[in-house]
Parts: sequence; structure tokens; C-alpha cells
Amino acid sequence: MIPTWWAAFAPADTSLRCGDSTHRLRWTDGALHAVDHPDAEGELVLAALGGDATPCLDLVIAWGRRSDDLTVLAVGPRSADDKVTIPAEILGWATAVSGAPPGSRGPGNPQARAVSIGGTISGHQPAARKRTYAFRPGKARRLASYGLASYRGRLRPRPAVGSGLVHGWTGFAPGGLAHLLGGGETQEAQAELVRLLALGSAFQFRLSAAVAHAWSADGEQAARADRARPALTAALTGRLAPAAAQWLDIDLGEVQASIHDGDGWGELELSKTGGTGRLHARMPVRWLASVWAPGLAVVDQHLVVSVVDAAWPTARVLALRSPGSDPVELSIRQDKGHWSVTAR
Amino acid sequence: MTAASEHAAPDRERAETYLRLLAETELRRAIAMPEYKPPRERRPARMIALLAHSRRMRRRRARLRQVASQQAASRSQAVSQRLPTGQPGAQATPLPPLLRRAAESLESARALAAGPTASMRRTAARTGRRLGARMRSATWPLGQPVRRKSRHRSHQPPPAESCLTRLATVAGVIAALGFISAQTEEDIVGGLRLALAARSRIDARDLLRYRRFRGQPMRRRAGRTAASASLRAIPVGAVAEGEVNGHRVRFSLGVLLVDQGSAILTARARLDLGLTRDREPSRADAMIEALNEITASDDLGNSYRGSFSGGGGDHRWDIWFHLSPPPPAAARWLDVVLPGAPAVRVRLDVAPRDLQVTSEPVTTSAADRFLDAQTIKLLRSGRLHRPRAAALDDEPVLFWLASQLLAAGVVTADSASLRRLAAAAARLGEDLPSQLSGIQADELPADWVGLLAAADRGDGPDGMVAIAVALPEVDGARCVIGELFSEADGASLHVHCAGWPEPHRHGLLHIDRFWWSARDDLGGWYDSDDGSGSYRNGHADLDLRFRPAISPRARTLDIILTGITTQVTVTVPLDWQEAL
Repeated sequence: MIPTWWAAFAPADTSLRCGDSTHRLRWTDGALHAVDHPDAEGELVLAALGGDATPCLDLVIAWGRRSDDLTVLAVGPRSADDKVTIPAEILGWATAVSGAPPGSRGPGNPQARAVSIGGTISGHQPAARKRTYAFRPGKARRLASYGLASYRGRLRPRPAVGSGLVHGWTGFAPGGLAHLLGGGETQEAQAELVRLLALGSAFQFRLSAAVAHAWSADGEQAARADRARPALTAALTGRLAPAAAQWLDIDLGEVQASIHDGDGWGELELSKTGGTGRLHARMPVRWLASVWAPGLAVVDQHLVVSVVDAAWPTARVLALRSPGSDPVELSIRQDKGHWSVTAR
Repeated sequence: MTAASEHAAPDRERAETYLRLLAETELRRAIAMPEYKPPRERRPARMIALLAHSRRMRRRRARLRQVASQQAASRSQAVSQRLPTGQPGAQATPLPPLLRRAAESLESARALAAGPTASMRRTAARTGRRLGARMRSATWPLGQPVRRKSRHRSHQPPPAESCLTRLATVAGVIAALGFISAQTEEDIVGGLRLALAARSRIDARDLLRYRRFRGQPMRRRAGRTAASASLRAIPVGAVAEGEVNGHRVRFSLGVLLVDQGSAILTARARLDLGLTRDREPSRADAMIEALNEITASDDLGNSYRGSFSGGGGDHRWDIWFHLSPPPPAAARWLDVVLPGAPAVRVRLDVAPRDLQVTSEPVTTSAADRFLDAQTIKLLRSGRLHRPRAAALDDEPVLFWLASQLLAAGVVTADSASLRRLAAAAARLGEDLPSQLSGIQADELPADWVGLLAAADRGDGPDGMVAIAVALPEVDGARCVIGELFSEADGASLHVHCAGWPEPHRHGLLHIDRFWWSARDDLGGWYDSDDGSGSYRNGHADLDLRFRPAISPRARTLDIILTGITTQVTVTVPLDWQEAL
């Protein structure tokens, strides 16, 4: 039996200002939960009817909406060393575009900024679980659709084009100044994404995993995966390369990856030309969700290619000692954020 | 000019995959660069700004206090008048009629003074503007050394900006050639932009500025604006002597373009030496001011005010005068009053010109046409444009771009355009980069050789042809050719287009989806270079430059517009009229 894609992930917590108090967001079992909103569903219905959405629920909904957004893979981290820290200016812009209540987040509130990028991984399950609301892609999307008409309508003039190319040329085009471009859905989507990435590194990897899972063979977007093949190939290459470089000590640019569609974990081949190694890999998209994102890619000189069984903080994985060798089964365990082999 | 590759279906997936992998490579390069920290504002400048601000605020506060104390004083005075001791309201009764009378007399005085005051206000404003312009022109040379000095302290872009430039350039070209959609281009380039900003490798403020002006990444609007079928062109072809700021200006009116909701009169102005002597700002201000005062009236008694767009340099201005609303269909003529000139009558009831227009499918690929256009430009200039500060891998821009297109599968090693590029490189004595070293050089086409041979021709006729012809739709765009101006060293063509995509520009690289060229009855071929244009909501006003100069012996000219799938040719008799 294939384990769930989130089985090797630890729960992750963060806190944020929500109204007058500080609330917690918890990621566990593959979904984001607004822990301090016992009647989240009711609040969401009210918000859908025109009421204000709270920052917590706003983020939970955004998480659901972005859980299959391939932009997450284009922007998100490539490895644990790749720090994605959203600058205050961009977070401020994103908060304004998303229409979050002022003061709850953003650069104007240093405390909010501090907590917003300080997501922590908690090492235990909550003792007594409150009623929480989790947002999964495809489910509650019907529930809430938040119009941002006030921001859509805020358009800016754009200077006239072209007339400044010739030396000594004075261009004047009042018509050109009226050329206005709207933000549209792309801008809102990117603003949501920025706010989610600002939750911190732990959440960035979990969101990336959710997106990779959505586009893998058993994900919700599997039927459309062919159209997303270029983006998925790039996402795989960009994440396999640092892992392979660590594993084989080869140049990052010498990794060529493609998507493996069939059964099994895929294949790897190392070719050498003129003393330079080049790795050709075919891996399934689920490798990103179940192996790379929980930080299992390279464990004790082995490249992990799939997860056999997992229940955080332990897992049984298939791993390669070297390219071309058969995968071996390893038992591994995470301790202080670091995975190591406990039994071969 | 055909090759096996030219008719192959575009491999969109390969092109997109290549671009996305290029984005990964560029991100990796950028991550290896140091984080970008925006420079702090210089302390003296900041201090001066702070002092000026605090002084301004102090003055405002003082003024507010003064107004408040005056109001308080007048209020207390009114209260003491209205309520004398022991007789409440005794003097309040006669006040309302008095007030009413005073208000009435004030109103009538205001009505009497309104006309003269308004004109005085306008005159004062104009005088103020002129004085301001004169002062600017007097002080402008004083500022020159300061400006020259400050140029050395110009803003240095973050090093990782070059990563974005490389990707945006290749993506822009591949999108313009139809291998990926504009949306995909936005996704890829926008993704890298955000990824770089999120890692502090580019200035986050630039990202926001970019968003503020653009809303979202550059999106060409090909086909979004429906090409209007009712667009018609009326030839004008008149010359008028005018005056701006006491200096002679000669106007040459081209055509009147009338659409459902607008009318545009195209013109060109030549400035005399007095107005162009100094390169200073007041010249531009005076011209813009004068051109915004152009008026028109028709035979039905309607009068029109409009707005001017266009621009110019030291000697020549290109003008598009927008009339709104357009003249009604029943109007037979329009009198246009240009600055300091007598009214010029524009006949609206003239029959459209009967010009031969042909439409045919395109036989070459967009990728080959793009590379050919760049190669011709290279041959004409005779030198390779090299990038600034390793922005494009230290390769000459064109060679670098050709390598990228080859790697993305947009062109193949046997593409005719690559072979012609190799021939051009050989002619200029340049070595191709290793990625293109296997390309076999081809012969340069006879058209190109002829164009290069005539490059220095300086005997073009002086004159104008008011063409005024609407072309059939080409790949979603509908164009109306205005007038052709010819000079000794070249020619220019005014074109108004609907459904026209805004071109991409990356540095000196100009990426278009449409190509303009011309061929005369003697077989001479003319290529159009970028010229200039203004773009608005899918509409474009283009000023195309044709090189070399038109042969004085040519009697007709085929003007050719080539799109992705369709090519349209209009044959124009070269009956030159006096122009400027």
C-alpha cells in the first residue's frame, strides 16, 4: 500500500494576528487548519455572503486555492539551503491586494512580519483537538469566492511607448496615458501565494508538496498533467539537481530530468564525458511530494527514490547507493530536523 | 527562401520546456549572486528634503492658525452685533434683506465679470506657462554640468537583473513567434521575477513599480480589440504655413482616418530654425501647447476640439490630431485651423482611391522572418551589438539569441535563416559561437544584396503621397495606410492599426509579429526599420521608416504587410505632391 504523501511530514505551526488576538495555524495531515476558529464553516459562509473573512480563514482558503498552483513550484524553495524570505515591501503589496484587514499583517506591523515568517515545526500532536477547519483543493472552493473588485478597479496610467527611442524626440500622447491595465486574477493569485510563502520555510515545503501531489498520477490534476509537463519537468529538474549534486558531487547544470509516467520509481543513469558527469533521470512527480519535500532526498549518502511506508518521525524508503545500482530498503528516522538511517 | 524546417509545425512543448528549464538555470545563477540591498538615500539630499518639508509644514500650520483666528474673530463680532444686551434679536431682523441684496449684487457683478475674468485667467495662465518655459530655457544650460555629473552616479541595477533580462528576451521572442502563448510567457517570466524578488536578488520595489504600471506582466493584446471594419481613410494632401511662438511652422496634412467613435487627422510639421535653434524644453512645450489648440468646423455648423498626440525633434514633428466625436456622415467638408495658419478645407465626400490590393498566404515561418529581419539589420549597420556587462553571456546579442532559438527547437540547424545569418557573419568577418558553428553558410538573397548596394543612396524624391487605403485584415489586425513621405535619404509611412499587438522591446531588440517591406516597379526592395509608434488599447499609430531612399525613377511601390499566416500587398502610384 502506498503511504499518503504527507506521511513523512511533521505537523507545522505558526501564529498570526487575527483581529485583536494572536491565533494559530496548524498544518497536519496534508491540510492547513485554523485552530482558533471553532466555527470556521459558519464564518466562511458569512464571509461568502459578504462579511469579512478573518486573516486565519483567509489563509486557509488561500492554501486550498493554491494547492494545485504550479507557480508555487516556480517560486518556492529548491532545497533546504534555498531560503525564500518574502521582503516586507512585497508582503505589504500582497496584503493590500488580498484585502486582509490592515494591521493584522504586513510591513506596517513589525510584530506581524516577525510571526509571519516564523513558522515552526512542532514535535507533537495536539493533546486535545478542537474542531478545526481544513481547506482542501476542490472541496470548499465552492463555498467561498471573495471578490476583490475594489482592487481590480484600481488602475494605473502607463506612459506612452516608443516615442522616446529617437534622440531629441519629444513624444506626447494623452491618449497613451489613458492606457490602463488591470491586475486581474494573476495578481490576486500571486498575492495569495506571497502571503502563503511568508508563513515560513516549513509551510513553503508543505505547500510545494501539496502542489506536486495534485499533479502526480494519483492527484486531482492527473488528467491535465500532460499540459503541465514542461512546468513539472522544470520543477523536478530544479529540485533533483541540488540533491544529485550533494549525492554525486556533480555540477548542478549537469542534471537532466524528465517525468516518469509508468509504475515504479523511474530510472537514473550517469554518463561521463571528458571527466564531467551528467545525470539523466526519469522520476515520477510524486517524488517531489513524498520524498523531496519532507527532506528525504539524500539520506546518509543515499538518494531516496520512493517511500515504502511512513509515519513521521519514522519511514521506510527505497534508496540508491549509486547510479545504476538496485535500490535498497532503508529504515530512517527524523531527529532534530535531520533524517538518518536506523536500519538497512 | 524556403527550407524543410520552414513549414514544420511548432513544437510548443519543447519550446516551453526549454524556457522553464532556462528559468531554473537563471534562478540558480542568481542564487549564487549576493543578495541585493537597495542603496540608501544620500544623507545631504535627505537632510535638504526634510528641512524643506518641515518648513513647508510650518508655513501651512501658520496659515491655518491665521485663518482660524480670523474666523473666530468674525464669529464673535457677529454674535456681539446680533445679540445686544437686553434686546435679543433687535438688529437681526433687518439683516436678511440686506444680505439678500448684497448677495444679488455680488451675483450680478460676478456674471458681468465672468467673461473678461475667464479670458484674463486663461491669458494669465498662458503667460505664466510661457514665462515658466522661458525661465526653464534660461536656466536649463546652467543645470547641464550638474546633470552631467549626476549621470556618473546613476542607479546600478542588481546583478541578478541580467538573469531576468535573458529569460524575458528569449521568452518574448518565442511568444512573438507563436510557439508559446502570451499567458505562458507571463507565467514563466513572472514566476522567475517573483522567485528572484522572494530571494532578495532583485529590488522588490522594482517588482512593485512594475506591477503598479503594468498590473501584470507585459501582455500583448493581439486580437483583443476587434479590428473595425468601418475604418475608412480620406486623402487630404494639403500644405499650410503656420506660426508657433512667432516662428514659422509648415504643416503638411496627410489623411483623415474615420472610425466609428473617432477621427484622426495625420500631419507632419517642419519647424524653422528659430524654434529649433536651442535644444531646450520650452520648444517642446510651445509646440504641444499650440498643437492642442487646433480646432475644426464642418459645413453643418458643428465645431470640433480635439487632442494632439505624436511628437517630434529639432526639425520635424509627426502629428495625430484626434477629433471627437467624428464628423457626421452627412458632413461634406471640414475646415481645420492650424496654429497661426488659415483654415485648411478637408473634403469628406471624396471617393476612396482605387488601388490594387492582393492578399496571399505566407510561405516562410515566423521564426525565419524574425531572424532574417535581425540579420538584415546587422548587415545594414555593419556591426554586431554586444551586450552590456555580460547580460547575454558575452555573445553578440543576435548570435546569442539564435543559439537560444536553436536550442529551444524554434529553428533547426537546416533553417534557411540560420544559414543566411552564417553568411552575414562571414561577410562581416565574425565567428559564430560554438552552438552555431555547424551551420552551413548560404548565399545572401539578391534582395538583400541590392538593399545593401543602395544603402548610401541620397537621391530620394522630396514629396508626399496621400495613400489613404484600408488593408484587408491580416491575422486579426486591420491597418489603414496614411501617407508616404519621401526624403533624400529615406522614406516614412504613417499607418493606423486596430487589433495591433504592442511590440516587445528588449534593449535594441525589437520583436514584432508583423513585418513591413516594399518593392518598387524597378525591382528595388525596401526594408522597414523600427521607426516609432504609439499604442493604446490594441490601436497603434505607426511611423515606419523605409530604407534605402526610394528610387527617383520608381513609378509605383508595392507596400507589403506580412503577418504570421497572411501577407497583403497594396500597389501605390508614386505621384509625389509637395510636402515640406
